Amino acid sequence: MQLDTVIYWYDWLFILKGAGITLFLSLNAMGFGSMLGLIIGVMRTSKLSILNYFSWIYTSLIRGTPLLIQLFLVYYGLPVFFGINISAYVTALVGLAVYSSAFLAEIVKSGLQAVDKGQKDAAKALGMTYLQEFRYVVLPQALKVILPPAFGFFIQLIKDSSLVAIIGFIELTRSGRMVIARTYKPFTIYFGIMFIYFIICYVLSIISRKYFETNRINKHTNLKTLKMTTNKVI
Amino acid sequence: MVIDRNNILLELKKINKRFGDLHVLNDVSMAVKQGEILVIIGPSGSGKTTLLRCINALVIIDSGEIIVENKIINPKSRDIHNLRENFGFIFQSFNLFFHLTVLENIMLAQRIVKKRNVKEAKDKSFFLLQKVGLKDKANSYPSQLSGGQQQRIAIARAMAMDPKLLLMDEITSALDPELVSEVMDVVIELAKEGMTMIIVTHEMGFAKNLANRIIFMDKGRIIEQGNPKKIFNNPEQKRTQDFLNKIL
Repeated sequence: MQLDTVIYWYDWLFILKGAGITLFLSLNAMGFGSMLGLIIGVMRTSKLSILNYFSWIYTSLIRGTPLLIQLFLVYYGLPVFFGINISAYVTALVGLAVYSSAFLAEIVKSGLQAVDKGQKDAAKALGMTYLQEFRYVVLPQALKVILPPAFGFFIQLIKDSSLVAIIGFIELTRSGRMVIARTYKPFTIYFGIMFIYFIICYVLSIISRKYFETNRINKHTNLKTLKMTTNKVI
Repeated sequence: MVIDRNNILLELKKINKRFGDLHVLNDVSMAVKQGEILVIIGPSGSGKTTLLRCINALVIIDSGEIIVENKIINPKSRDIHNLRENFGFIFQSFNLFFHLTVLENIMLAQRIVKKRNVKEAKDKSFFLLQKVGLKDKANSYPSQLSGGQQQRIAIARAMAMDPKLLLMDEITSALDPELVSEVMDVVIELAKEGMTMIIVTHEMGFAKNLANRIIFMDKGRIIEQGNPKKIFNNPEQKRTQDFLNKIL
């Protein structure tokens, strides 16, 4: 019996589908991670020491341990502790979201601290509540400092997501490995996968540079887009 | 000093504030009448700015009473943001919201705090912009304006909330000398209209030309107070005289 080791066009299609899944997974993880990261980030700036301390432990632990181990913990740990069986997709999503939230929390914290104290004084003096001050004055200005590194983290996340291949989730890396398992052509496939990751990340970094670059011309258009919370009000 | 109980807008009784070991405000008591212009002068570190910030609870006092229109105010209350609406605060560093245009700066608090509708807020904003002479800058961002222009916008923003009392914390200290007069003109105009003001300043022009009463503070205490003529020509205390000698 002759083994079929040819790489067909539909193998590449399968791999490209994996690329789509990688992007989908990364976007979802980034979405949940951002929401959680925002909350943890605000806690990091809190005057209440309980909140501050808890969030500091959270970010230190997650940023200080390998993503791979965290993914294993979720994959093997959740069924044991909570008795639920979860799919590889949910594992990957939870693992990546929690991982993202820790890094994003620190980015959010620096963004919030970068806002001039006088802005908050002015908001208070005008009679705004804490929530109003946060939503209309602090957050829009903090976003200016938060978005560039957050976008950079997203690009990194896409690459880090390749680790979920190890827990069996079929995304870009894993789909490549499956084709290799049949065709015994690791070099070609891995090279192709690397190329796909590169294209994705390169395009994103071009977008990032174009959008976040501050020069005199787009400085004010950037300000306009950051006013998303205030536009409906004024 | 005879105090007309019916006319007192703000009264401070034995205000104390410590920052660590530093006793910044030491049993400070004073009162301001409706329509009065009170100017506070004194050396750096005398507690003038802290006193102003205690009035609208940007700084929480350790002890003492803050009484607005005969009602005692609790600076730690959850509703303190309601009480802050009584006071307009103008900062030394302007503190305009960088991410908003001039018009949006003036409209924001009107919309979300006073809950005015868009038309009302806009009309009021343009009216005030006209008054401070900056109607044409409505769509500019603060970074595009000079210091004097920013400070005038800051005054308009505070006035948009119809405050009972304006608190001004060294509002010309961060300005180039040639920009001071445009801000002073706005303040003089407001004074003519009967606005009650407490002005902390190094600018003796404010003290001489505008003040109904001058308070001299040093090391956390009120040393002396009186009308400008008395303070500048016949101060009672030596420390007042020493300070004035250095300034004038």
